[in-house]
Amino acid sequence: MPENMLTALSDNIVIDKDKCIFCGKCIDTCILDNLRMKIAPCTKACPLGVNCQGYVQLIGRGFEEEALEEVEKSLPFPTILGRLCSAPCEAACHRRAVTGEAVSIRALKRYLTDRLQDRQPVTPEIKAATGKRCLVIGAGPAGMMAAYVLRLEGHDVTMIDAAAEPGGMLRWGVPEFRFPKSYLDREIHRLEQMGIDIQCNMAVGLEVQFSDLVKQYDAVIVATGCPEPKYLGMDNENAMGITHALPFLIQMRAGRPPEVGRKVVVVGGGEVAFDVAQTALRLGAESVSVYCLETRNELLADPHIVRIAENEGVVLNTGFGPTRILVRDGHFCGLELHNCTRVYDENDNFSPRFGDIITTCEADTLIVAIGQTRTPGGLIKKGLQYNELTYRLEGYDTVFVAGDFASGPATIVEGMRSGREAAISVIRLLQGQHLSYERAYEGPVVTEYAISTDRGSALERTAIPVRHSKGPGDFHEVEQTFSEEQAAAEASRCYSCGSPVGRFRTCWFCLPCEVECPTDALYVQIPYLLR
Amino acid sequence: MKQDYPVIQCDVLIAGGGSAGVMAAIRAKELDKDQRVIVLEKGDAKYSGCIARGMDALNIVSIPGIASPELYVESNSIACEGIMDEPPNHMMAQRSYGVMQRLVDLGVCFPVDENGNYDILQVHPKGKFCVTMKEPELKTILHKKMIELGTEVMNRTMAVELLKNEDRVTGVIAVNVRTGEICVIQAKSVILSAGGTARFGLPNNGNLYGVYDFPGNTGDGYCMAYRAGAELSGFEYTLTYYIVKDINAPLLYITLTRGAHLYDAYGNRKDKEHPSLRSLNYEDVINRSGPLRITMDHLEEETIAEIENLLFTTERPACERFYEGRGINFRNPGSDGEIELWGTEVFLCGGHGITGVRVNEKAETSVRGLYAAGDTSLVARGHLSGAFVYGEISAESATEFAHTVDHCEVDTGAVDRFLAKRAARLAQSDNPIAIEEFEYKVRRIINDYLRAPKNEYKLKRALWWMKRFREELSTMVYIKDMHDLFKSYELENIIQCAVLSATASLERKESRWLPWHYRTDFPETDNERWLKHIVLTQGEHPDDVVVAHKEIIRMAKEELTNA
Repeated sequence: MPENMLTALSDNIVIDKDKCIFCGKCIDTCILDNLRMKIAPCTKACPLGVNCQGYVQLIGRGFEEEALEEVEKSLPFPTILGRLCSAPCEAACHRRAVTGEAVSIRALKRYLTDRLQDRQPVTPEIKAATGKRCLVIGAGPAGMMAAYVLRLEGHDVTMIDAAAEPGGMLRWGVPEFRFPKSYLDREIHRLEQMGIDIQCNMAVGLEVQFSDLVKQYDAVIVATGCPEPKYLGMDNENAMGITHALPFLIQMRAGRPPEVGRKVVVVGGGEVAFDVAQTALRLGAESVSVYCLETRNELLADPHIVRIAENEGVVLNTGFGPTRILVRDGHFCGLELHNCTRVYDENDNFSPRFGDIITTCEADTLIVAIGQTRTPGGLIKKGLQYNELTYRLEGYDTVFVAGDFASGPATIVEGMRSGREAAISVIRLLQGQHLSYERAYEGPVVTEYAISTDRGSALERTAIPVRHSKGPGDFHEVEQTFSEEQAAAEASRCYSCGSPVGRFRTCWFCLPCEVECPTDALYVQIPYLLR
Repeated sequence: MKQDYPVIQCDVLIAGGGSAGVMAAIRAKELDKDQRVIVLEKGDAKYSGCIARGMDALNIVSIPGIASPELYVESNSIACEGIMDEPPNHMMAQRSYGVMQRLVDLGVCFPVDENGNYDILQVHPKGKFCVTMKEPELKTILHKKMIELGTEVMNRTMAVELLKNEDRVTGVIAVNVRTGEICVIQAKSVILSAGGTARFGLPNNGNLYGVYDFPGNTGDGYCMAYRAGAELSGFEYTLTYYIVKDINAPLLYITLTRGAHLYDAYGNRKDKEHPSLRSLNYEDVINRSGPLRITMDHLEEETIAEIENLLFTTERPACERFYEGRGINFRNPGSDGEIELWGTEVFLCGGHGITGVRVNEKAETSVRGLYAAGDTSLVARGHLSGAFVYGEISAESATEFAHTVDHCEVDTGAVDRFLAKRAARLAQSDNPIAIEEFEYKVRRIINDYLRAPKNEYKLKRALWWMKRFREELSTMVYIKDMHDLFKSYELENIIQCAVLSATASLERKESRWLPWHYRTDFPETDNERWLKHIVLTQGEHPDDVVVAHKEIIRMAKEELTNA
C-alpha cells in the first residue's frame, strides 16, 4: 500500500475483532468510499467468495446459526461442499503458512450443517415471475448452482440431464461412503420445491436437438461436465477385468455393484483413485494397490483422504506409471510399470519422464482412474471458445457454458462458481444489461497487509473424526463430524487475519457504517487532526 | 478498437442521490410510474449527501398563518443583499409547507408541543420559517420510498460529462469510482443534483475531508452544466461558515434560540444582536473581535439536555464524541463548558449560499432538457427545503419534457474522446505527485486567494495558479489506480470551480455579503452598478469563461401580494 498525505494519517475506524464478522456491510455503506476489507486469505481463495473467516470466527464465539447464515449468503449448498469441497481456503490459510497445518475450514462448515440439520436452509425469496424461460443442460454442481441463481431471479428454469437421476458427478462420481446420496437428494428436492423443473433421461442430440433448444428458450446454459473416462491408450485396455473409474462408480450408485477380483490394481493419483480403491475393498477385494506417477508430496488427492484409504488397507505405490497391460486368455492379469522421474515440467505442465526401473504387478482387476473428459462431438467439434468473464459461448447470443464442460475437469466448488457466473450473465442478458460491466473488479478489498498471528490458539489441528470401515459391505460414511468441543477448539486456531480498514482516510464521521454494522463491531473516532 | 461499455436508456436521469436527487426520483416515479428513472450516485444513495444522519431543522417552511411566501421572498432578498431572483424563491416558499406535509406523511419526525404546535425558530431577518425536525432516518426513509417506487440507483457511479445533441442534453458519461469503467446513459431529460463544492478551500483542521459540508461534493454538477453551456451565477459568493472550531460542525441556532450566550474574544456579549453566520464572520474577519464563543452553563438542565438531544442524535451525531474528547460539558463554566467558533474553509453552495446553475421557477436551466436542483441549483439559500422543493419541481419539468422527445443517438465521438482522455490519465503512473498531495495544495491555494478579503492581485494569482494546476494534473500527478482516477475527475472540477469563482470575483468590483465578497480594492457596496447577477458561461474551451451581467428577475408587486 503506497502511502500518501492522507493515508499516512492515523486510521479513525476502530474495529472490535471480537465482534466483527467480516461481512463487508460497512464497506458497502461508506458514502465516501473510505473503507476496504483487508480480505482474509481463506475468503480470498474461495471461488464462491464464502466469508470463511466470518463463519469460523462465529463458530468460535458460539454463534452457530449465524455462522451457517453467513455461509449460505454465498453458498446455497453447504451440506455438499462441507463434505466434498477441495478447500482452497485451507490451502491459502495463513495458519498453514506459519505452522504447516491449516484451520479445518471445510470440516467446520460440515459441522455447521450437521449441527443444524433440522433447520430449514435459508433460501432468499424468489422474485416476481419474469416470464423468461431458461434451460440448464446438465444437473451437476454447476447446473444446480446456475438453476438456483436463475430461479431466485424469477425466471422459469428447466434443468435437463442425460442420466436417470440428477446430480451429475455428485451422484455418479462419488462413492456413498464419501457423500451419502441422501444429502444430494435433499438439495435436489429443495431445487424442485423452488419450482425448478428437473427432467432426466434427456440427452441432447438423442432425445432433443441442441439447435431446437436454443430456439425454444430465452437462454441456455450448457453444463454437461466431463462424463467420458480418459484412457491409458494402451493395447488390451478393453480386456476383461479392466474398467474405468467413472463407469465403476456409476454402477455402484445405480445399485449394480460391479464384480472385482481378489487382487485389484488402480492407476491414478487423484481422489477418485482412492475412492475406487476403497470401494474395491468394500466389494471384497483381498488387496488393492494404487499406482501413481506423483511422489507423495505431489499427490493431487487430499492427504487426509489418502491416510484414510491407507488405514483401510489400500497400498499406495508412488512414482510409477504403466507401460504395458498384461493379458492372459483375454483377461487382465497384471501391469508392467516403470519409474517416473518427473511429473511436471518447470512451467508446471504435465510432462512425465520415466527412468529404467521396470516392475510388474500381478492382479486380476484393473481400474483406470486418470481423469475424465468431455463427450466428444456436438459443440466441442467446433472447438469450445467462450468469454472467460461472462461464460458466453462464442458464436451464440443466448448460450453460456459452465462447470467442467467449460473448464475441463475441475473441482466442485469451481463448477459451482462458473455456474453462478453463467447464471449472472443470463440474468443480465434477460434484463438487457451489459454482460461484463463491473465483473472484472476484485472487490473493495486490500490483499497485501501484515497478518498478526496473536489471535490463534496454540492448539494443533483437530483430527477429523473417522468411522473405520468394518470391511466388505460397509458403505457407511467414513468421515464424521466434529463434536461441539472439537469445533470450538478448531475454530480457536483461526488467526482471524482480515479486517475492515479505513483505507483512504476520507472519513467524514457521518456514521452510517457504524449504524449498519450488524454486530456493533465498528466505532468511528473523530480523526486525530480534529480531536 | 471498438470500445465495449454499457449504454443504458432512461427517461429521466438524476445525477446525484442526495436530498434533492431522491426527492426528484420519488416525484418522477409518482408522476409516471412507467418511466425509467435512474439515479447516479458517487457513494451509496441510502445515506449520501448532506443528510447522512438526518437534519435538525427544515430551515424554510412557510406555514400558513405564521409566515407567508411573500414575507420569505422579502426576508431572503435582504439576506442575499438583493442578488436573488424572486420567482424561484417564491415558488420554493409556496411549496415548502406541502413538502413538509409530505415528509410528515412519510413518517419524518417534527416534534410538537403539548398543543400540537411545531417548534418554529426565527433565523431569517424577518419571519419565522425554521421548523425543528428530529429525524436521524430522514435519508433512509426517502431512499426506501424511492426504491419502492421503482427508481434504479447506480451507486459508486460519478456523472462526469453531459452528452448533447445540438442544443439539447441527451445523456451522461459516467465513471464507476471503484472499477474505473465508464457507462453511457441516454436520457430524455437530465436533472443535476450533485451538490455544491464543499471540498473547495482547505479546512483549518488540515484534513482534506474535515470540511463543513458533505465532502463528496466537488462541484460536479456546476462543471457538467458549465461544459454543457448552461448559465452559472453567484460564484463570487465565496462562503465561509462560522461554526465549531476543528470539528467544523454546526450548532449556532440550536443553542442561541434556546438562550445560549455568545461572547467575542474580549468578553462582549453578542447574542442580543440577532447574530447570523455572516455577522459572526464579519465580527471575526472585519472587526477582528474573534474567535467567538458560546456558553450554556447558565441554562436550566432541561434546556441543556434538549440541546444535547438535538445535537447528538441528528445531522452530526459524532459531535458528542468530539465534546467528550475535549472534556467539554455544556454545564461547566469557563473553557471546559464553552464552545469556540471559527470561520470555516471557503466553499461554494446553492443551498447555503447563492452559487449555482441558474434555474427558473420550473427548475429549467438555460440548456434544453437540463434541470438542476438542490445545492447545484441557484435557489438562493434554499437549504434543505430548497433541495426538496426543487427536487420535486425538477422532476415535474423533466418528466414533462421527457414525454415530448425521443432518445438521440449516442455521440460516440464524445465518448471516444472521453475514453482517450481516461486512457491518458491512466498512463500517467510514473508522475511524482500523489493526487492527495496535489489536492492539498490546490485547496490551500484556494483558501489563500479566494477567501475574503479579496483584491485584484490575489484573484489574478488564483487564476495563475489554477492554470498551472490544470497542467500539473496531467504533468505532475500520478494516477496508479482507479481510486486515483476518480479523484482526478473531482480535482478537475474543483480547479474549474476555482477558475469560475476567481473570474466572477474579479468581475464584481464592489464588496457585498461582507465578509464573503469583501474586496479590499473596492470596499463599498455599490447597488447602482452591481445589483445584478454575474453570469458565467463557457466560451470556446473550459478556460475561456464568458462573463455577462444579468438583471435580477423580480415578480410584479401584484403577484407578490396576491399570490
